Amino acid sequence: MKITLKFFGQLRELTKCDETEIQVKENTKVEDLIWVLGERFPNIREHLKVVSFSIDNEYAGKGTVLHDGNVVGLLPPISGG
Amino acid sequence: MVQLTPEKIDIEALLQGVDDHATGGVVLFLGRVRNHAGGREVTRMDYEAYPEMAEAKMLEVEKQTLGKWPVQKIALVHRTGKLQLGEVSVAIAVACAHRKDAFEACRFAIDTLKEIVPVWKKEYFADGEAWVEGVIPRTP
Repeated sequence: MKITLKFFGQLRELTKCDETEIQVKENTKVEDLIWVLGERFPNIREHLKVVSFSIDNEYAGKGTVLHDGNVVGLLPPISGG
Repeated sequence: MVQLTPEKIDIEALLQGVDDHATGGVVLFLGRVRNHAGGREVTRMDYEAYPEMAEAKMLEVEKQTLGKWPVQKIALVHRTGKLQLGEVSVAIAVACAHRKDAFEACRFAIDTLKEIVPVWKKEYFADGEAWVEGVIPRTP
């Protein structure tokens, strides 16, 4: 199945990517995606330890199962205000 | 009312937005670009947001605030893009019948915004730049 990844802040700079689509297996969880991302983008592997994830604009825990068409945000620690 | 905007925040319009004759106390919080951070001189700041999610989370801040205090009107605006020193990056106006509620509700709104709204800022120094170390939002 296909999901869309969105990168922000430092992760956007490091990956040189705003948004990309990737194929993942059925029943992939957010925690599995962390491993996939570390393989695909080795230079953000360290950052993934403190990254939060969103699925379709809502924060998602590590155990959340992904579905086809999900938009997944990779969110570094936030610093608005 | 919540808004994410690349334009300069219009404070007068924000206050107009919370105008209500049933309210006796209006608290306005402005977050501005400061000229120093961690002992270094800051020259400007960039703000980046996840727009769709940031607006959704700002609506959540509004809803949570309305659920905790007797707020008549509330307005939250966050700026994005390149900001110069002294420019307003975030503005929150809260109007209540009484000042105590207005102060507390406004404080809650800015604190919660900083905890859940996906916005990132980058500081520029005379000799470099750095993303501000942020907070990890609470996730389910």
